[in-house]
Amino acid sequence: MTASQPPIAVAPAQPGYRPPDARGSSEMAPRSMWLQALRETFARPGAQFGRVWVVLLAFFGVFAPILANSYPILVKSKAGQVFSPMLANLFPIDFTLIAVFMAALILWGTGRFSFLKSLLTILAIGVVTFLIAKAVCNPDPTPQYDEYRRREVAGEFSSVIRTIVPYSPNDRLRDRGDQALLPPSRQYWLGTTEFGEDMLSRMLAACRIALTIGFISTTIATMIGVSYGALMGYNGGTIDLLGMRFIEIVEAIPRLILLLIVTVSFGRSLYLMMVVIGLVSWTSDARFVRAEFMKLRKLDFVQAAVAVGLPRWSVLFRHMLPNGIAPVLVNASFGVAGAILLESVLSFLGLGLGPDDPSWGQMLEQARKGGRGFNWWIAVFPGVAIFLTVFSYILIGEAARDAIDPKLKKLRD
Amino acid sequence: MPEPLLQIRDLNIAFETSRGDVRPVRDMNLTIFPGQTVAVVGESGCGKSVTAMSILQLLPKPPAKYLSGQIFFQGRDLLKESERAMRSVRGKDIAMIFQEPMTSLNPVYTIGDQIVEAVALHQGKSGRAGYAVAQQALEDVGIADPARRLGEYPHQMSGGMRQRVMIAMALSCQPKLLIADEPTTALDVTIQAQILELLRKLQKERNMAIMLITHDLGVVAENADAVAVMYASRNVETATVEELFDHPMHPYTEGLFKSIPKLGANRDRLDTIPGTVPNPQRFPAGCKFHPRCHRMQGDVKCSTVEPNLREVQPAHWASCHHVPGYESALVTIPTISHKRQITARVTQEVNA
Amino acid sequence: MLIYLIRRLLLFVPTLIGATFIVFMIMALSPIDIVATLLPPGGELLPGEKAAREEYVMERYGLNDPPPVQYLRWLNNVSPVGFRIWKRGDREVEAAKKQQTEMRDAKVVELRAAGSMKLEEIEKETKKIDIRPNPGQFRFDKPAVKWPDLGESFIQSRSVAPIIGAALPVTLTLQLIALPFALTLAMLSGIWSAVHRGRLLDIGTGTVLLGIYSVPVILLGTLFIGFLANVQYIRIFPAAGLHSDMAAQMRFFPGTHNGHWESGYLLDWLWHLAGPVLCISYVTLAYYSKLTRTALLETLNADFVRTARAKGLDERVVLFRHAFRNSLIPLITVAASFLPAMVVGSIVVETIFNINGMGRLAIEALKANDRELFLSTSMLILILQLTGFLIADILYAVADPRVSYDS
Repeated sequence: MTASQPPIAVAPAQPGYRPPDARGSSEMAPRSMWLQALRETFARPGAQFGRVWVVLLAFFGVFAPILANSYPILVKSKAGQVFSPMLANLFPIDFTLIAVFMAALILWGTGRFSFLKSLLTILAIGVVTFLIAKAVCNPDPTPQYDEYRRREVAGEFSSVIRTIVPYSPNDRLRDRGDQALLPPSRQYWLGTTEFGEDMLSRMLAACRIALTIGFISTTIATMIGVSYGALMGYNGGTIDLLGMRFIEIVEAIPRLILLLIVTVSFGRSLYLMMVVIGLVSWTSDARFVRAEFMKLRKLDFVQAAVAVGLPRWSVLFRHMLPNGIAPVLVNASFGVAGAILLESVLSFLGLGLGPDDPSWGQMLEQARKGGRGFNWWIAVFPGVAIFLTVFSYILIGEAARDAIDPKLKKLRD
Repeated sequence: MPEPLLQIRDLNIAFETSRGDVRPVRDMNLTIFPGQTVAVVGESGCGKSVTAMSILQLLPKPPAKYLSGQIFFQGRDLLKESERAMRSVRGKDIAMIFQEPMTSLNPVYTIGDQIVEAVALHQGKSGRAGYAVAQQALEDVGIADPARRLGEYPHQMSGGMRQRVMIAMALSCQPKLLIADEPTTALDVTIQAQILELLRKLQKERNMAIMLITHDLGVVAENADAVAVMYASRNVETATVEELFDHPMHPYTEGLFKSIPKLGANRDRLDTIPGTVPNPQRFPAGCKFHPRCHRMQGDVKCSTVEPNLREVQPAHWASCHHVPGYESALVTIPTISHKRQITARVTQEVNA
Repeated sequence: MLIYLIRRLLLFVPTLIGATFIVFMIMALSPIDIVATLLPPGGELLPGEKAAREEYVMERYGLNDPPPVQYLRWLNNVSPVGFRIWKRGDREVEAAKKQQTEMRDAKVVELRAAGSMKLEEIEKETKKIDIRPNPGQFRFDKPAVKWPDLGESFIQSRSVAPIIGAALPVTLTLQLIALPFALTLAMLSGIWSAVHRGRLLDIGTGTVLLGIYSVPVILLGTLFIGFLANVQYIRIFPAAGLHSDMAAQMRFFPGTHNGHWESGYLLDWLWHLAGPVLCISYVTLAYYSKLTRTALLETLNADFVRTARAKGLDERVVLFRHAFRNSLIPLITVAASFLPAMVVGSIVVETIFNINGMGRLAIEALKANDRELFLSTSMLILILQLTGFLIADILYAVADPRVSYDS
């Protein structure tokens, strides 16, 4: 035998890669697998587009009060005093969101820090900012939107710097006369609504609401669904039988109808809506996790964990769950899209959030009700916004599914 | 010498992949005579299945490309035939059975329906006449109670029985050549023996040629008349079965034989061929086997010039620079019309 | 297979009961006082009306009974199999009422004499005296098979059954036209794109289909009416309803009458259907087309398709008889589950296009706090849903001979 070198290059060992053991590659280091899946998901052009829009949306939502506000950013009075009405009237949540957004951008965007540690840091920053802001902030409980406009006209200021869009979402511009239902113009870039509010500022504020509803309801749905499905899939037998019956009962009721009933019976509220959307959307996650757990239950490493004497919650959530959670994460993206659609339909039917919380669906309702003909700008802009958002999440979900599925197949078989 | 039934000449096939072209079949030459069993031996990925599929042109046209070569069947070049003409060859003149009987039958139709489909297409018999032919076909392959089986679905049968059904379906139109792509690999050993015996019996009854693709030398020993050994998409050795087992010439073939355990041999470890099969996307230069070859001994020729198939002995072709007689041998087309005579002796040799 | 189907059928009723129970309980547990829910939003009732409604609700549900009991009473009324209930004119009821009135009057006198309580408190105390049987309570000794009593609608002041009877066919027709339309178109386009896979047209189509799927129906419907049914812009389609005003007087087929062209009932109906059917079905179409393509591609790679080709079969036969027939199995299950989704989708579409179907009825009932109408409407929607799921199960068992659900 000669010492000839094999002419074929051997793949160099990659950082974070542990070769699969004899039993099967389901034991691969989970963290590097997720990073790999994430990278592959966003390698696809669809997901890239989706990511761009979602980040843009988050930016708009977070910075909405700074981008669109009736209070000027900076005001210099004739006497030489400089103050910022806008900053004085921001709410604690505004500061918190900005802080969290910037932190997330820095920590995750550069990708240099571990995911979990960054997450904890971000949450900590959020909580701290909120507490400080709560103590310090003193916004006007009943906003006087026209105050600074009047004072400017009256000549009180030597210079005024306003936000890009100098109107707040709930500013009905009464001091300017009837500004309702104006088409897009140089003054109001996207036109005005039925009540005279500027469309663009309402659209920006609606971004925040849409994303909040999407995330929180999906988080609730995922948590409920995963726990429920894990217990069913792991235990099997009667628990599984009864659990499936309950799932079928919940699925028999259309989500929209359930949502409508709750809204009518319990009143309208942003928080209630988020919780309820979560409460009606958990069944698909439960089914996924149940199927995965029923497969995993029979695998050796689970039986080994049980034999060693680990408590059940540890087996479920530390050993089985990381292996079975992939379809749930894919589904989460679709879930956000579905939640946003659900809320918009609800608002469209007139049973959603109140007029103070701007929502795209609510704007479409205004468009439908008419009044002085068809006001296309009230329908097109929010509608396209909904479309782009839903489209983005669906593209991300599809890309994630493509990225994770063949990997799963390779790992599992 | 009688007229060859099938002749594959200098066949070159390429697959288009996202990372460039791959060549699963290179300069393939093979001849099969009527009533003969030719075994094509090699490891997974060496190109034997692709060769078989290309005879019936079952390879999807993109990504497969036929670069050059001819496949003569009874005088016609199949590669030049239209799709329509090929359809009348498939199932009627040349039939093919596959490795996985489990998934090779359509799960939603009864096996009776599936056999009659072929019969109706090629023999024009449908309805009761067709089912009669199907029933006879099932009987011929040794399935008991064939009338009842006609109405059953594939999932109601065992693996061995399903493979018999596949054979019945393939043979229902009396083909002249049966291509069997690893027909017994997925079956139990005892069922394996039954299926192979069935094939031998049917072959004798109908004077049918068989192209037997396998990686199991035992199967080759018991069934083949002539053998072609494939490595890295090429035919590296071709001989009669007796000759190959007595005097393997190519170092790869030698290695294959050495790695079979023998009863009574006093050894602790089996010989293995060092190294691994080369990646078809990155074949080494020269002889594709040279990185693993003990005969090479640093010979530059082996790493630069790829040897071709030469008749180093009468009716024995090999492609290796270091085979005695290679230099002076001629490049001829491997054609062996031999049929096995002494089964017993060869079998004994293998098991000794 | 039969056993499985029987089991699914038997599960139909309990699931329906469970679902209606949840719906009922959410409404019943509303912190808003039940009497307040009887009022139309933002409105007052004449005093006689309010009392009448209270009495109605008392009789049917029993305001003092706990919510689960109220549910059972509703269920008893609505189900075709149940118990007879005490009616107002029955002898025992009359006697009980008389006794109750006497006792209550006596109590009022007693409390007034004690002098310490206010009028409302006295009323509350006397109301606690409740002599059974009350009208509306179960007669457990009289089980019966009866017509479901769906109650009376408050906003329309008539029995619920005919209201639903008018609306249900409209919705069903809409669904039964839209669903086959969407599925057929989707299957054809899915097959086409699977066969022509990889070519330029196919790669873009996938993303386009996702885009179509993402368009919110509220946008599409609003734009449709706003631009295509509007005098301000283009007026191709009608803006509302399923029939023109003159439709009842038209003949069925198009033709020339009295010198001018009349489109006829049929064409007029189809013209009105265009918008709603499009809006109901486009999501299903996009989703299903993609699904068909994926399913077919998977099957086309299967071993048995290779066998079929090796037998010498024509490519079209291979495609339809072998590949597609196998793809049908997953496709059918999904197809039947679209019906429930589309019923819900029609809620929005009916609202946009002003069609008097079940969906719009449900919304109006909810907004008007018309409890009876809403409960009956949603129960019917639930029945439609469950039927859709059941059909899916049946079709799946029929399509796949490997399926044996006896375990």
